[in-house]
Amino acid sequence: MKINISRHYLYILLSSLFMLLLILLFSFLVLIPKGKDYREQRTELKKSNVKLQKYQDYHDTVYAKLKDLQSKNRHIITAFENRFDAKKFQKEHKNYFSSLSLSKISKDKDEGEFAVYEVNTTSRISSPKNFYNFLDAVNKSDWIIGVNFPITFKRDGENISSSFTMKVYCNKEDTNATASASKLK
Amino acid sequence: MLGKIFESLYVKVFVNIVVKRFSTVVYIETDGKKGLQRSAEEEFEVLELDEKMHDLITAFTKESPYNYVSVLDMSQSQGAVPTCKKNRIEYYTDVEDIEFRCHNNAWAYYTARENLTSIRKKYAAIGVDYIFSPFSILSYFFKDKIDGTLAMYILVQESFLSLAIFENSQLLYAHHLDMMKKEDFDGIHLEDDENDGDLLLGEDDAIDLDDISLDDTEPGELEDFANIEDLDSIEDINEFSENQDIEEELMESTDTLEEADETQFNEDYQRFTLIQGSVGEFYKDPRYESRFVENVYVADAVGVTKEFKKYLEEEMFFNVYVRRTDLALEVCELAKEETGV
Amino acid sequence: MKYSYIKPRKKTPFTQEVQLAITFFSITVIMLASTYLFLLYKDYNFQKDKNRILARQIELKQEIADMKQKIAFVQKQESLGEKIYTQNSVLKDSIENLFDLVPQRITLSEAKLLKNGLILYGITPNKDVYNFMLQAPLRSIFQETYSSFYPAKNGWLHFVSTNYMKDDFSEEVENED
Repeated sequence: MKINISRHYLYILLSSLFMLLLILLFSFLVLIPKGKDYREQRTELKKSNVKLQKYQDYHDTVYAKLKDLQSKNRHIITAFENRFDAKKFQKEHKNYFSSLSLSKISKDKDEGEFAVYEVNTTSRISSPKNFYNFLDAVNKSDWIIGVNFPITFKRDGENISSSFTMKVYCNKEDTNATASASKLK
Repeated sequence: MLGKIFESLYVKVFVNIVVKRFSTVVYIETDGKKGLQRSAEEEFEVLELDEKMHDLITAFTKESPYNYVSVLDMSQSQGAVPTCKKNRIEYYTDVEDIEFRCHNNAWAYYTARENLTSIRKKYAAIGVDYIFSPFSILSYFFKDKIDGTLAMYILVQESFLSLAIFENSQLLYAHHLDMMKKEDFDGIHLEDDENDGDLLLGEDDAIDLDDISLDDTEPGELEDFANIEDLDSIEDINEFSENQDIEEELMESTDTLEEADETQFNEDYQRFTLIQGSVGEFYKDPRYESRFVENVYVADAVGVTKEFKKYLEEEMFFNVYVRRTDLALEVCELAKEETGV
Repeated sequence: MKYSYIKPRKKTPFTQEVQLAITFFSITVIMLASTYLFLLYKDYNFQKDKNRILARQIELKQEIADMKQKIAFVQKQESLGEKIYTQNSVLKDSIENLFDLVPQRITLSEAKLLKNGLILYGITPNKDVYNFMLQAPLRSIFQETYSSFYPAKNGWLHFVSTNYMKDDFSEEVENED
């Protein structure tokens, strides 16, 4: 039995089948793999995001810790940064003394990451109490100063003349140190 | 360009419809690149588009979107004129509500606008692509003869006669004659007893030879017969003129015209009288460039009898050449020509 | 038109059925194509995001390292600062203790505090007072004590007390308390 289809319908049928085939091929060979790829990439991205979040959180805690430290030790940090100014020191602490004079500042051996300067001081105090107060005050001063031996006290009439060595600690003067110093601010 | 590519992928289907007096002939052809593939011809006893016709046509047209439905214009109110210019056409016929088309810039064929719309409406179910005038068919059918000397071409259909006189491809006169219409038909009908009387001589009208006396006749009349002696010496007169078409005659000899029977006889006679009247009109009417017609080519789509040819030859002294044709096929040929196949 | 009264209808292979099929397939193709384009676009986006995340991760790592460095530094500063502060206050306490150590009857004229030693100059009424009230406590603090005397104008004794210890002076005095 021969089935008679008009040529027109045959054309339509063939081209439809062809298009269908193309569509199926495209769907299965291109679209579906791409869809799978998309899904994989999406989960991967999610994972990456989670990882990033962890990093971010850790970063934030470290940052908080840093800020906390910095705020707690603000005085010390700024004191390390300040360059020793003899005149200023004198002005600030002359109250404790009847007279106060500082000698030349000389560089001493470095203490770890910090530079040390030695200042010899001679002064005259009316009573030892002033010296105690001075020692208290020096901890609150704008610099990190350690009062060192040798310390001499000599009665001089009504007053006591004293001399002592002060060691001034501050951040090292190279570019890295100043850069980190400025960052600390 | 893309259209051409698509066109070449498909076959072309030509549906040709010719309406006869009581039936419709449908001829369908499927043409591929290598020529004719399928064809079918059927006659339906209806004058409209009926279901069976529709089914036959759609069976073919669904093959291809490139199908062309051609219908032959069989209306009464149509014709052809020797000019293409509208203002000249008015001279020959009433231009109100007619559609005319120019043929080769030489002559125009026309029909009433309502004829076209009615054809379109009649075949609206399948759609119409071409509507042809019988004069186009006629000129195409005789295209090998039309560019020659003056001749009359007649397309004989079942109920119509399309008559055209061409010379050197120029139309001189055309008349579309309806065998049913009374105005065209003013010729003599054989069954009419009154006219018979003219032929038969009654007693009263008989000429009594004894009564004739030389005195009654005028001298001039007798002198006309002076040259009677010459009659004997004249050889057999060649009844036909020099413009005899030998080729056509040779072609014709293979087709034998039918013997007449009663109804055919009447019809042929009717046809003859119509032609006679039309030719007379051609000669008399000052609108047309009258010339003497000698050769007549008949496109016979109905099957005329020997009598028809005899009438024309003997009564009107024409050289008549008849070519048989199937009208639906001719319409198809024209449609193919129109489409460019 | 050469022979016909009318022009033929427009012939096109795109009949209703063909148009329907074409529409259907075009829609399908468009949908597939747009899905594919969407996936391509998403792919590109994902790549971009991944790179961004990676870069940010590196950035964060670097920042964390920097901050850790800073934290270490600040901690060092803090420890040194605290050390100095305690050193100073310890010094203060030890000096205070020292001067408290000196009894009423003995008057100091000079005191030299050294890293590992102490030299005192003063006047004492008599040796006993000195030995009892000053020397004894000093001996308990320092490892080595030397004393030398020379008479003063008003019958009292000038003394020079030299005291050394092996370790740091300040540390020892602190322990005393």
